[in-house]
Amino acid sequence: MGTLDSKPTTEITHRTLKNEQGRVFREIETSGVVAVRNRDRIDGILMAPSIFADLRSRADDGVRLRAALPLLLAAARTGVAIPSETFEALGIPGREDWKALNELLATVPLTITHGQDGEPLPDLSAIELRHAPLEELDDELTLR
Amino acid sequence: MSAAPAGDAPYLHHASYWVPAEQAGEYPVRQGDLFGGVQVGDDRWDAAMIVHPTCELGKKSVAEIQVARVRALDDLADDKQRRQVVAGIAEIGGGLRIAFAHTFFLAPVPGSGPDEPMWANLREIGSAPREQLTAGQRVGALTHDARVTFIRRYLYFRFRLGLSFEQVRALEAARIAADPAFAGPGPTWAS
Repeated sequence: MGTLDSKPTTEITHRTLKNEQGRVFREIETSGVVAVRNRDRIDGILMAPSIFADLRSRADDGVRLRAALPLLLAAARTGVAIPSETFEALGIPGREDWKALNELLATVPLTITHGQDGEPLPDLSAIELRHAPLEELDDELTLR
Repeated sequence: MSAAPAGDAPYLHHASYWVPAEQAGEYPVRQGDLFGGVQVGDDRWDAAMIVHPTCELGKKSVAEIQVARVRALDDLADDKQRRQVVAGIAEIGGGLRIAFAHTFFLAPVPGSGPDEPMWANLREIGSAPREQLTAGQRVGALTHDARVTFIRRYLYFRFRLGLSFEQVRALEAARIAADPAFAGPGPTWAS
């Protein structure tokens, strides 16, 4: 369990959801995803926490990939070697050229998503930064 | 003319790093300026970049100025690391991460010294006598725009603050506008 697969989703009715909760949760544990049907339509989906976490992770992957995509596409188009784990894993070659790499990065609208240690970078764009001019003493310390 | 990266990239286009040599004399020595052959204690560094606060540089009581060691890109052992230092970022798992936050990539200074890219090592900080760091001995005067990228990189390295280029530039513009001691040509964005 933990990832979506091609197994058909188990369906239950509203009545089952209401009257047989034990069975419903056993079903979720077994199948991962359970659809709640009301006559001819699905009203809702119940899923195991691991499946939900997997979906979230995939959504995050998509967002991350969107951030890197312009750079990857530009690198593929120009043939310049970029620092890319994906290109490395796929064996996509590139020519080493610091100047071309610098030019590529200066012109591609990329978004940095993570800090050096892989921590997601907090969005500080909404914080209003204001420079407050301060008076500064010009004295110097004197050591004994 | 002012320069900015198109997106979130840490660095500017290499042509926007340095004040043209014929204009550099108008610019006093500032943080980010590059010097060659700097004596730091008992060591002689091939190159160093001033990291000392600019506003301190004019004080007579400041005899020693803090500098970061500058090394050639070729000093790095492999292509992968060289790429990461030039870019300042790396793509990992579809995301873009800051890479080697303690480095600041430096484009070659046109017409001055060897035509090779460099990087300042923000972990390798030393103090050099101010007599070595005069405008006459300067190899390259960093542009105001490139200084914004330096401050941004330094803020992330020192404090893990991931501000945008525009945010840092706005702060720097306000600071310059309020600085009565600011000398030399100012950036267009601070007027």
